[in-house]
Order: sequence, then structure tokens, then C-alpha cells
Amino acid sequence: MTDREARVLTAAQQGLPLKERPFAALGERCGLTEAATRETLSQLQEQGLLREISAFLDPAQLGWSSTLACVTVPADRLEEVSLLLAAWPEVTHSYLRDHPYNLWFTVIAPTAEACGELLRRFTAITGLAPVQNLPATRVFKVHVSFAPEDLVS
Amino acid sequence: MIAPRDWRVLTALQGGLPLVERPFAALAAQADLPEAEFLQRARDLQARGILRRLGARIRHQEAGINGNLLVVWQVPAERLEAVGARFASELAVSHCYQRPPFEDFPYNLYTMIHAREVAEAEQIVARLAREADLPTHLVLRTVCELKKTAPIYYPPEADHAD
Repeated sequence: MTDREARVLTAAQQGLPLKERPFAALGERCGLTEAATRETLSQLQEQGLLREISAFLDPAQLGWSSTLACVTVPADRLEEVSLLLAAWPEVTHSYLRDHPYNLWFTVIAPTAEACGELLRRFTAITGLAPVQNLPATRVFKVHVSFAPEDLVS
Repeated sequence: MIAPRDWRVLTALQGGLPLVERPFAALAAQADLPEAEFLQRARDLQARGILRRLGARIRHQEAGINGNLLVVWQVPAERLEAVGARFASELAVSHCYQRPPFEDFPYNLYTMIHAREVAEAEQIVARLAREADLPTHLVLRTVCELKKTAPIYYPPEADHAD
């Protein structure tokens, strides 16, 4: 990644202002023109580093619930289970981890009941149990943004 | 309560900004609102804390951030507040949550730690463990990412009518 790309990506992660011309404002923070800023972003998108620039909403403010779940999945059933999770929009992240509880995934839905219902449906369909339901009881931090030095290779 | 018009703004903003000079004009057209009203509603939603920010979603691995660790910690209840705040202040920590422990899994504080390389992330974990004096922790290495998408929030059924 070039220094310019790293600066733009860092600034874009921190957030765009809600102004008519947000890329002009973003460019000012990076010392670039509006056109150069947009061009850099579209290059980052072509390279696959930037997925999109979109809204980060606060599920708690919307009254929505989320949870983290983990379950043990035998190796020969990972593909099937992975396809099932891929098809559910409520499941936003899923990872395989090196632990007896090897599958970890996050669920987001309008209510805690809906989250729990999805986990029950998971067991009903796959027969895999127990699924540990681990909703956050306290949020100390939620933010992902990286400093320019982390982004320059 | 979120007004139906506000939901139209949130739905459009979740779809992503086109990289054009006036991206909100394009999104406002999708939401069937004038650009000025769209922006004003978006600012109000941000002031209310519903819209945290409008920002870039990146692919960490492609961006050269390869050391992404989930680390879970066993923290005594009376120290949870202080340790949580301490970990949250670390740049390398992107997420820090209290979650319930379960059978054979006594960990109650969850952190996501990011660095360029795994070794570097592991050094950060070792330093945090030393500084916070928390020997009982577990690093859950990522074997592979199966799915990563943005959540899709939608209005309650009754709100569809405007």
C-alpha cells in the first residue's frame, strides 16, 4: 500500500462527515484534492482492501440484540455448517478457532429472543449441541481503525 | 423511536456510499428524500448515537493486518471495571466485552487484538497479561474466517407504512 492509500484508508475508517461533499472534507484531512481522494478510494476498492464505506449503527440504540456463540463441530461437518451460517443474514461473522469449541459466530437480531431462537434452530438443523450463548453484559470498546504505520507495507 | 423516514435514511446508508462527488444526493434519491433532508436526518441520527459513524469497512488481511487474535481473560469481578477500561485504552484492542463464563470456560472478558503479524499480537497479549497481572487467559487463534458481513438492520413491520 502506498503512503497516500494508507492515509486515505485511515481517515476513511475514522469516519466521513455528513456534508454534501464528504470526499472533499476527507481529502482535506489527508492533504489531497477531492478528485484524488475519490480516485484513491476506488483504487483501494479495486485492490480489495476497501469493502465499502457505509453506516456503522449502534445495535443497542436501535434496541437490537446481539450475541456471540460457540459450538464444537466435527471436521467432516464444517463445510455443511459453514454453508448454513453463510445463508443466515443474522450471522455476521464466523470463524474457526483452535479450541475444542472450534466454531465461533456472532448473531444480530431485533430481540434477544430472536438471537436465542436462531441458536435453537442451529441445533435443530445440525444436531450440534451445546451451543454456548454469550451475549455481552458490558461493552468497554467497539471500534476498528488502524494507524497509517500499520497499513503501509 | 425511529421514524419511518429515518429508517429510509439508515437503509440507504447501510447500502454504502457511491464514490461520486455528492454521494448523499444519490442515496437521498434511493430513499426518496431531498438531499438536504436526508443529510439533516443523518446528522440527527448521529447526534442520537444511532448512527455511530459512516466509515470504511476494510479487509484486514489484504490491508496487511495478519495478527488478529481473540483473547479471553479471567478477571475477578472487583477488577473487571478497571481492567476493561485499561484494555479498551489500548490502540491494538479493537473490541473489549464482558461476557458470561460457562462450564470449563472461566473467562469473562473478551478482547480482539490486532497487529501486522501474529508474533507482534502475541507480544501485546503478553504485555497486557503482565501489566494487568492476569495469568489466566487464553488465545483463540483464527484458523480461518468463514464469514464476515455487515449486519443488516431493518425497521419493525409496523413501520413500513409512511
